[in-house]
Amino acid sequence: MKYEDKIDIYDDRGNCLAEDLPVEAISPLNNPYMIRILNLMKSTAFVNLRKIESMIQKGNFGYTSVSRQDEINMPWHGRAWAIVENGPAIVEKMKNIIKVHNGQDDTNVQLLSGNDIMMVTIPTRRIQAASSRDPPFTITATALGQALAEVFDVSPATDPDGVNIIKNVLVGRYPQTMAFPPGNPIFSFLRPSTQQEGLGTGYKTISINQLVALAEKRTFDAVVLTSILEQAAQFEMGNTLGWFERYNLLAFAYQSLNADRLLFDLIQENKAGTIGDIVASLIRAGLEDEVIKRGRGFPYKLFSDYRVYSTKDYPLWNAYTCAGLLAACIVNVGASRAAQSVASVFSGFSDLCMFESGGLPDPDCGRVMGVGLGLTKFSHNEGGCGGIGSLTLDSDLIRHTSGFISPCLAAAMCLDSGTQVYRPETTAGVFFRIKQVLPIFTDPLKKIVEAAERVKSAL
Amino acid sequence: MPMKERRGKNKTREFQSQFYPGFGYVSDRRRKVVDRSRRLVKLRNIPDDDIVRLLGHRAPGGLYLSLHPPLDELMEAYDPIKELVVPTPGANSGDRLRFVQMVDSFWRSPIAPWLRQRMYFTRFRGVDTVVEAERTLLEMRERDVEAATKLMIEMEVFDTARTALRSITPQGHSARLDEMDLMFDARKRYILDFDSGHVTYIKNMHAETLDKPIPLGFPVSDIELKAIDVTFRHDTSQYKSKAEVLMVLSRIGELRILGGYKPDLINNL
Repeated sequence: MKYEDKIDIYDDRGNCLAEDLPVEAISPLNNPYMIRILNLMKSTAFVNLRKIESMIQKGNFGYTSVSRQDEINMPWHGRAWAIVENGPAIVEKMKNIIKVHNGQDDTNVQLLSGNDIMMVTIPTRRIQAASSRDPPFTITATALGQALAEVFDVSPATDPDGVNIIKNVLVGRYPQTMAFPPGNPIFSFLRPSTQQEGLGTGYKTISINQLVALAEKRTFDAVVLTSILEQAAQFEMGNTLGWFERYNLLAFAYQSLNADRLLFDLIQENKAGTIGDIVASLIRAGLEDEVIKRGRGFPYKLFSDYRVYSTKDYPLWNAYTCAGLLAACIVNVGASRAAQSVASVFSGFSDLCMFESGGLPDPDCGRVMGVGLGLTKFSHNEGGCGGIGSLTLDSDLIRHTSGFISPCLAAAMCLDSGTQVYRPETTAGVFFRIKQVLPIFTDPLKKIVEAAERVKSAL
Repeated sequence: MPMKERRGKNKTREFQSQFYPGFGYVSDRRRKVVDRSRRLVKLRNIPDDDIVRLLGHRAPGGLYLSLHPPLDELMEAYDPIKELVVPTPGANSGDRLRFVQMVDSFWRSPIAPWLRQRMYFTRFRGVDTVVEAERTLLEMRERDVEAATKLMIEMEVFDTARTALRSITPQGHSARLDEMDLMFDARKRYILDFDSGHVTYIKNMHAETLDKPIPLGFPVSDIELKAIDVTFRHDTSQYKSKAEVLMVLSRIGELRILGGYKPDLINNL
């Protein structure tokens, strides 16, 4: 074991789930549950059969904008194919096309209730043999094309236009474009790798609203899911190595997993309080837990009786401030029940926190404050970024911290009572249904703890 | 090692927030504004209806429009945190989100935008604010924003001549004062009433003409403004009294850079 740190994990009602877990057991590299979540994200695609049916019947293909589908609009080429009705037949054909062995493997093709959404899980063998995480898109599109052609008897001999229609419906103008067009009926949790912002940011290509929907708007669950993806991306980007590994693991534990009940206690103590109260409670907790200390004499006690605190373990104090940040976001947004109130907390909490602690850095050494200043501007009058729920984790407004901003945004969207234009129900409604068939997303904190208990002896 | 040995090792009985370093009345003023336990002095009394008319979001006496049903009637997914945190009265009844935007003059105003933001964070709940050079936007639920505006206008952090409510055309904080020593306003929202000596708003925050002018009272005199100034300058608190502030600011800068480079570098520093 590299680090000596131990944590207790508590759930969102303040009950203890596990005691004395080594902090490495919650690393995305070690925790089997997190690895399962990440693999599921990489290997699963969804197909909106209802949308394919309507596109084919109306003769509308290609690029979809928010208002209409207008790249190709040729109703005279419409086909009366009953795709939703033939869903079970398509599923059977796709299973046979996708699976690697004739016997059993972990291919899974299934319809959601209502037969309009198809979930496709690509077998592990195909993912392992791939250089990237794109098989959910490529394999699903090709397999679905072949299945449709077989079910509706389309070939250059019988229906030459139908061949082109199938291609255009499933992949749009790709490969002329970098990826499938926006609004494509085939989608995944993550965006295609050709659209990601940089190296190793693949797990960050999911939007806040989708994660909130996967957690069914339960605050702590959404925070945990968002953090798993964020921290996995930090590990992949090389941001969490050597000097920073313990720093990130501790902040992940204290901010998102409610380690040592710090986050819950801060919220409970100040449930009717302000952000200033949270800062005061946080400093007091730091002093009581001996994470920060008051020095004596001049450099630590100034002449106006102002105290300059110091810490013997900055990574741990950073974890405390990150937990305080999330608590401040939850208390502020919980008071106004409007998600937009979250952006200004990043700058306000950091500002109050560093003057209160006598110059110890604010969360993530000022990166949170930098994000806050930009995000307040652009989520209000100046830029119009379109509501925080619609941001992806790698949006240029929020990607600059080591993964401590997006859990706060997810919490804010959970606490919102319907004031946003881009609500989870409207922009990610299908993910509420997806969650119903994927029990892996229920009680993530409990599952992390169970998995950590299993691996802790082997570390 | 159980959690009890990590947390609460050392009970701190007397903990007091310190807010801000420094000697002198400027630092003290900065501490007072953000300290919720210290009451601000009430300078004037403005009727509630006048506040509503100044804000211009609804007619005085009119109903509050709502964005969603009251929280008691709203069907929401189960979440212990939602039940734990107490919503504000505006959120509870599902009000719209409305705003007030205050502008503070460069010329000895009783408060500055950066301090105003800190005041919002320590004195109000459920705030959303954007701070710029001259203007400070505050967005809250409608009921809450009215209560907050009333508090801000009546208390000592508002001077009728050097602070103003402006939503559009908020520029003018760094322009010269006009001939009546009021902060310059291109929309001419307020005038000095020569008969009463009061500053009177003839337009609301959005520069729409009011049916009945709203007097907000006498401007605070220059001597009194000097006594509640929050800026270090040659005629308030001089440079040497800023020494502690500069020490803390340079400590913040140094530790941020070192800690951002390698977190363990600032242990025991």
